Amino acid sequence: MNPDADGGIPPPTAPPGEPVHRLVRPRTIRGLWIGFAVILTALVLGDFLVHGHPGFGVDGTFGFYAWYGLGTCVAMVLVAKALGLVLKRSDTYYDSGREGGPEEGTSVREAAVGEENPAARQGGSGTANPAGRQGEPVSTGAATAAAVSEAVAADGAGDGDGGAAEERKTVEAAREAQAVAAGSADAAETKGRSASGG
Amino acid sequence: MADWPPALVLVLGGLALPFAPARLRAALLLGLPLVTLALVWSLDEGGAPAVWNVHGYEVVPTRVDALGRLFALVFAIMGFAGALFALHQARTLELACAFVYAGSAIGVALAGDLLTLFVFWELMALASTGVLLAAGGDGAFRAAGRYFVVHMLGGAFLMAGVLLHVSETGSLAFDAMEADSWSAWLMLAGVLVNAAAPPLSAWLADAYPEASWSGMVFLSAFTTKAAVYVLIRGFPGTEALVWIGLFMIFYGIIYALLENDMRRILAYSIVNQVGFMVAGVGIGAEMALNGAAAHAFTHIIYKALLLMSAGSVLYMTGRRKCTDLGGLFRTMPLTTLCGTVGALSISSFPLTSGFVSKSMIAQAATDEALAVTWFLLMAASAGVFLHAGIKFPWFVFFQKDSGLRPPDPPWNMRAAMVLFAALCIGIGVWPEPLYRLLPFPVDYAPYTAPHVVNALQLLLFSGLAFFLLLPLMQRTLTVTLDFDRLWRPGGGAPSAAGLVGRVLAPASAGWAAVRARAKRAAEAVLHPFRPEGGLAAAPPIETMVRNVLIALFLVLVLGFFAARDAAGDGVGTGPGAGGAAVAAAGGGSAVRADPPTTTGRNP
Repeated sequence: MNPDADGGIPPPTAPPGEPVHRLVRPRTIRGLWIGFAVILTALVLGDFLVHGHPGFGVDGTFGFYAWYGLGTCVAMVLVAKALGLVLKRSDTYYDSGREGGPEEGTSVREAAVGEENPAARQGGSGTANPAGRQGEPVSTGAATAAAVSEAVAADGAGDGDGGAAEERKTVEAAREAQAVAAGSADAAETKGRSASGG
Repeated sequence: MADWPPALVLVLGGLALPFAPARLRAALLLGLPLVTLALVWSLDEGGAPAVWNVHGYEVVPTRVDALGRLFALVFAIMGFAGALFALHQARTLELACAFVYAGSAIGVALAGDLLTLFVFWELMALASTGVLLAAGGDGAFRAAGRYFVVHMLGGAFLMAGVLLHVSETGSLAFDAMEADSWSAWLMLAGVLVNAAAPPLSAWLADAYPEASWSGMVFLSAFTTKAAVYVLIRGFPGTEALVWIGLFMIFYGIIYALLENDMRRILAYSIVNQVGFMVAGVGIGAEMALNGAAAHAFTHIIYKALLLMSAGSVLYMTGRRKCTDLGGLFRTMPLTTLCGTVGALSISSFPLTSGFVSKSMIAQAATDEALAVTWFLLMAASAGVFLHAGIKFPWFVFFQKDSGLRPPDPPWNMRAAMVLFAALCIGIGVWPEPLYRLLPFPVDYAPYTAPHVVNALQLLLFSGLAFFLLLPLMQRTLTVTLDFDRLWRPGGGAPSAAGLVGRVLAPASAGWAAVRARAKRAAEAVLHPFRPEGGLAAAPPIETMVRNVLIALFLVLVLGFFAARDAAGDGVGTGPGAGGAAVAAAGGGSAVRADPPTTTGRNP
């Protein structure tokens, strides 16, 4: 009875009326923050008690590791955020635009025969749940799709990145449809010509 | 018997696995790595290695010294824990490949010459591709293809380097080299590809997360760490490695911070951790090399532990994205605990294994007075806690409640996690046994009061930064572009390949037109010969008779003129007449090609 990830049994979800877990009650969270602040203060004050062997001078000053850790982490998050603006794409980025028209080097006849295939493949990848690539249970597909659209909407509201990604996707789809149409027109032309020739 | 490399137990055992009866499966899965572990443990460091003579070259299949033994040991331990974790993995292909993979990694660690090294190196690439392929599905298939191409490229570099080296020196010996010749550069490039060094870092985070829930546990351990082993053995003190390592460290942090897939976060953090080791090799002092080796040992264990906890989550929920997960600590307490132990170890918290290994590398930077390196390593240590130490457990097990309530995974997966969590803590509390296995004598005490206080300050203030910046850290449904965008199909946004394509678009349109025209012309020529073409048709008999009559008439007329020319020119033009007759015959056959087009309209 192991719910295998590939088996398709959806994971159990929270029963209705489940009480809020102790750890996530506001009171506990406030307590955790207070405890965290106490520990941080104690650690900084600990610099009065211990004296290491600084290798480079500045690392022996009071509270060096505290401000250095905090400062560099803030810097790294900000750099990541900035790079993300340039480098982030929708997570279906590599799934779109994969199926092109007829392949280079295939003969005219093959292309004409294979004309139905891109459409079929498009349909297949269109209906497949993008989040279900790793064999996600089908029955959770709807829920995930809802979550996905919700998240995308939230993201779009947040910084407009998701919206832009959506737009790119539709543009991509349109371009693809065009390519398919052009391919089939070409195939039809050659077909008609070969019919008149023969 | 002693001559044979211990690696063969796992390699041959893995190949036999698909044919083993089902009741022996569990025994083989757990037994083969244990036998290998015992064999590696019992290797005698003092003994002279067996030398095979292969076509005049000295091949040393098993060389035993502290460095090779350390890596072989941890590879064998990893093989056992991975097999325990994957005991219920139904895909035997994956397990067979994983065993060949683990065995060939041990083969690399014990290889005494470049030929043995290269053979096991390529076997590793093949077997790891098999592990990826075994996951099944379109995504895994494509990722395995990209992975395979990159590793064949790395293997080609390595082979070219080895061949050049052999042709220069006439020796296959594998010892420390200076990176000052083409052969060394090529070998270094080949090894760095496997270490996920820039610019080819992307293969790791691209391929590994496409493996199955158990496959990635195996994949995380061997390829990159075998590369670190070869760097320690072959290129200690190569200064460029310091900067390559530092680049990998920050690349891993930044990309992991942007990532949404839980196992891809951990994949980027492999690049980050291997960066620490590569930088250590670049520093090159005994302390640094010890640190790099020790860090590889501990890293294999805590990274496998992290990926086991991620694999358990994937196995129980079928979900891999942080945006779909969260709040799992309620019903998966053991997985949460073990994942957190792994996260603390990777952040090198005091009393965990990372603390006793990684700090040796930073200490070496201090000893060698490498100020810039040291400050960057410290920032990176804080960053590790940020991207792997907190981010992974927080978004998977805590943060918002996803509403999922899966239980902990089956007993064997729990056992594997508990084993590795115990090792993480055990090594962190008693580092001496690990220190005794290191290649150089260790003169280092990790647990001094200032060191512990400083490390805790650095890490906990890094944690403070995480929670203060939490609004900036919220996961989005995105992937992050990398160098692999250059050769990876898909996507419509501008990229180097896309830009080139756009520039070339008019040219390619013209080319397409030319091609179409050429195709049409060729079709016109070839058409009569096609099945539906005229030549293949069966014309009526009277048409045939008419055509033959026309042909004979033409031959007669041409022959007549030829004979008259010969008579007019006088003697010795016989050959000319013959040539005319041949030409006439050729003309006749050329004419014959024509009529069928008329036969179509004939009836």
